[in-house]
Amino acid sequence: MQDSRRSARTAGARTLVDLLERRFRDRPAATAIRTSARSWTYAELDRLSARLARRLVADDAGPIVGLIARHCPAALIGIVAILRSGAACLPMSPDDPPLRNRGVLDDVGCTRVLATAPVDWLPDAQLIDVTGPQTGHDSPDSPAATELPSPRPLDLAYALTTSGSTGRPKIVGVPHEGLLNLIIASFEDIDLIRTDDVMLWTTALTVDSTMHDCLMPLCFGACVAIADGGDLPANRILRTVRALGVTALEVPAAVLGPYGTSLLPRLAAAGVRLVITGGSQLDGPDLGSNDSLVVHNGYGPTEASVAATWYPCDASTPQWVPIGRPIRNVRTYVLDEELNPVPAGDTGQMYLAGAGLARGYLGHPGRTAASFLPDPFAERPGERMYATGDNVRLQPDGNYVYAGRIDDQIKISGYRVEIGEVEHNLRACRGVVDAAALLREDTPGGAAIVAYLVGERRPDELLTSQLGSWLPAPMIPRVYVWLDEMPLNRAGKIDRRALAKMLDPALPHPTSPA
Amino acid sequence: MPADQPSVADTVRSLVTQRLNLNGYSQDLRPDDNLWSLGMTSLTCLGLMLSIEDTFEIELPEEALKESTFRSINTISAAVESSRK
Repeated sequence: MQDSRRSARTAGARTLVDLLERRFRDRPAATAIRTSARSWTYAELDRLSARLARRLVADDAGPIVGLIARHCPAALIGIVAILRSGAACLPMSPDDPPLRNRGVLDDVGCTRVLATAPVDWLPDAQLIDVTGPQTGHDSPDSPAATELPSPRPLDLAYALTTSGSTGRPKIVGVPHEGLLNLIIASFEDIDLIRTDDVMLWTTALTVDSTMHDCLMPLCFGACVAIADGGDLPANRILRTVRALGVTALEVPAAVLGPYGTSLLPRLAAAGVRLVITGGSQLDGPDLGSNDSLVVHNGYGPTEASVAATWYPCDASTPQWVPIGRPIRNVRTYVLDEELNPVPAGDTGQMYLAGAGLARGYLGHPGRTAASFLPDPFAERPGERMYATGDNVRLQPDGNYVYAGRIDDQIKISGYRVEIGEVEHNLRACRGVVDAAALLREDTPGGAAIVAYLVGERRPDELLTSQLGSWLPAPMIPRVYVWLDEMPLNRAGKIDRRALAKMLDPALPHPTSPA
Repeated sequence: MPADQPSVADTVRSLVTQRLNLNGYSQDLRPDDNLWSLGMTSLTCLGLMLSIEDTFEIELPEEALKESTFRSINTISAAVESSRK
């Protein structure tokens, strides 16, 4: 009964735009977005986003529209408008270097950009209006007659930038099909959203979880809560949860692992029923011991639409938390180097197939072909599977467990970084002859990227500022160690094990005040 | 507080040392050293705040939840003292 009622809400939807349109019709007075200052009903969200979408259509904005924004209602209205215009959303951070953002726009041929605040390096960016006309009628200057298109399942919904090992970022293009599949599974199968939920938007605009965390509630008539700006937002999380009546939120695994035992009981006491997590391996004790609050651990690369597998924590959950089982319409394979399935329980690389695969890396068919392989196990010939680069093993209970990377991709505070991209940019710094970078958990202040350099010694500040014009902040090393020569192993490659032992991590790094 | 209990500042120092991976540096850590310059991130600051609230059984007030409160052992100790009153 419950299931049939749930599936009735999603039946026949081709993309999440169809679900949004249904909610605009059947829940106009419900609150769609809430901040401490004001809230927006579904009717208001409908009106504001439709007006902006019509303008994009009328201007022939192109298949991909950029969005430079922080956490704010305008950003969410912008995402909805872009999707309703039939375009894909390309989110960008105003904190990332202009050089990098401009390169991304050029790479995908994006010429139209929306923003929530003026952008120095892009004066053409159009500011998003969050008030608009107070009546049901569009203002005379808006092209109200323009029909909004209905996007198709294989049209791109969003494009996101991720670190690239060759030194340049990759832009992953993701079609509607996978996001809709995840959103439906979240509602019908895993209870990640209920109509009476208030979901707090905690993730960065530029990570794909935002598409799930913000659009999923709106597809089912729930409310998205947005915190005010200001310093130390993470420390304010409990205040925000109480002030906005939050019932569900995402907490990155990098926070939940170490601090879950302190944080979860407080969130539960504040009325939170659900904590979604992911972004890196969840590693922490007692994450399933709260009666009134459940933690759902999601796993999946951007290339497979946010999350391909989910695991709900319970009282028996171990500290190294499993990544769970595939959602509906997603297939998982654990394969060896010759692409043969490994025996159940053995470690191998995770391959993902079925609904949810990205179209690929925009503008890079070669890179796409290297990671999205023909699927030899598909029932229908011609399908693809994505090589995640993650090692996993299958437990007897049907849950997968993450077992490390096959390459040197790292996660720092949940941010995905190809060490190769950091090293490439280090080598491009003035004076640097050779460079290696490592993630060290034991550096002062907490986990950090440590750079080992050979060349003409220069102050840290100069390196940091030079790297800052190319790389996002999380990719910039916090500690620099200069060496006379790079240690090599017998194969003649950089000896990373020797490097990892080299710095006494208990010593403060050279830029700390004397 | 009984005389054999550690002072607020001593307890804060030990929590800072533990949460910020400063074990080898602990004896040189001065009460007014800038923890943000020593590499504290917003993530480790959150952990520090939670452990301070748990240890002293307090909840820091809204106005204390800013970067300047967590700048040094001195500023943290002052915030703890004032929310215990």
